[in-house]
Amino acid sequence: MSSKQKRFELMVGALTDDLYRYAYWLCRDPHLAEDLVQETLLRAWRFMHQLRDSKAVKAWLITTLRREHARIYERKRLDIADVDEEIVEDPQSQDVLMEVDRNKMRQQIMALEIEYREPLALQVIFGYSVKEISAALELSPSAVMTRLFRARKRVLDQFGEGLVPDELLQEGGA
Amino acid sequence: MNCLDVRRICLTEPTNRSPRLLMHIYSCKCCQQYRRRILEAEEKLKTAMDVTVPEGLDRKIAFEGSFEKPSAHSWPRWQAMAATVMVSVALGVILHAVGSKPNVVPELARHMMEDPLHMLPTQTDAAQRLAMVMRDIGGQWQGEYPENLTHARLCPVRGRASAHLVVQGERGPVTVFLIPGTDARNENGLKQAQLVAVSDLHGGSIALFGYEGENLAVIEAQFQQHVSWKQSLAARQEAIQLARYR
Ligand SMILES: [Zn+2]
Ligand SMILES: [Zn+2]
Repeated sequence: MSSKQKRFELMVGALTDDLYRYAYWLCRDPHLAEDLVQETLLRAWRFMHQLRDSKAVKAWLITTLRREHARIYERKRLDIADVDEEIVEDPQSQDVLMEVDRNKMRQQIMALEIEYREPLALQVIFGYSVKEISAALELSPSAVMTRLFRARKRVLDQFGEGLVPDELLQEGGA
Repeated sequence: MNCLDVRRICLTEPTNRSPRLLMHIYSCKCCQQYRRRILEAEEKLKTAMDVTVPEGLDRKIAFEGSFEKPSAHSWPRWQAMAATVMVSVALGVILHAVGSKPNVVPELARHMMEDPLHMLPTQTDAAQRLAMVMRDIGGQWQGEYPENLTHARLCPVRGRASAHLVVQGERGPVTVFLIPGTDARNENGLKQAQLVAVSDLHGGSIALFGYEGENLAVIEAQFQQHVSWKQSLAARQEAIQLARYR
C-alpha cells in the first residue's frame, strides 16, 4: 500500500464518523449525509499530496462539505422549515428513559434553523472554539456567540430551568 | 470577570478552561453549581448529536478511494493519452523559462492530470457553481455568466483556493484557472499540441490551456471583462490553511 493511500485510510478512519454527524445535522437526512461525506473524502483523496497538517485537513474537509451542502441546498431547496421528525431509531441504546430524553433533544436540534444548528454542530461534534467557528462560517465572534446562546437556549430550556438566562441574549447583541 | 461573564462563556464555550474562568469558579459557589449543570447538559447534547454512523461507511470510502485513480478513470483511452501529452508538453515549459516569478504551469498541468474536469460530462449547473466558486476565492463575476462555461470547481493551486473552470472553445475544451494573487509568471506560447497562456488579471492571475489553433486571447478577454477580486475572510483563511499543507 502506498504511503498516500495509507494516509488516506488513516484520515478516513479518524474523521468519517464526525464528518457524517456534522453532515447529518447540516442536512438532517441520513442518505444525503452519507453522500456528502463520501464526496468530501474522495475529493480529499484527489488532493492528498497537498493535504498535510491534520488540523488544517479537518478545516478543509469541513469547508468542502459545507460548500457541497450549500450547493445542493440552493439547487433543491431541501431545507424545509417544518421537518417531520424522522429521527432515526438508535438500536444500541438500552435505557428507555434516557432514549426518550435524547430523542426529545434531537427533535429540538432538528427544529433549529440552520444558522443555529450549524455552529452548535461544529462545537459539539468537532469541539470547535468560538474563534474557529467564526473562521469557518465567516461570521464575527459576537455573532457566533449569539447564535450559540440561542441554540442552547432553545435546546436546553426544556431540560434545565433557567440554564440560559435571557439577559445574556440581550447582552450578546443581535 | 463577573458571574454574568462566566455564564456567557459557559454557554458559548462550555469546555473553555481559561485560568481566569477557573479562578472565578473556584471562588464562586453559584458559578460552580452553574457550570456543573451546564456540563451535564452538554453531555446530553453530545449524546443527542452523536447519531449512529452507517455501518462500515469509513471502510466503504477507503475502499472506493483505493480504486479512484483520476488519470485512469472512465474516460476513453485517447483522452487520457491526450492529457498525458498535454502535461508532458507543459512540463517542458518550465525548464527553459527564467524569471523572478515562479512558473505555475507545471503545477496546473499536474492538477489537470489529477482532476481532468475537461473530460467529465458537462455540469448542468455550471453557472451556479461558478458563482459560488468566485465567492469562495474572494472574487466576483460581474455581469452575465458565460454561455460557453461547462465546468466550475474550487481547487487548490499553489496553496490558494482557486477556480478551476472549463469553457467550450473553437477547438475543444479550454481549461481556465483563476488564481488569487499575481505571483505567477506570465507565459505565452504554443507548445506542440497545446497552447498555454498565463497573465495578470486585475490583481489575480489567469491561466488558460487550450488545443492548438484555439484563440486563447478571445477567451481571456471574456474573463478580463467580468472578473474582479475582493479578498474575503474565507478565501484568506483557506489560503492560510492550504499554505500549511505544503
Ligand atoms: Zn460567579
Ligand atoms: Zn481542479
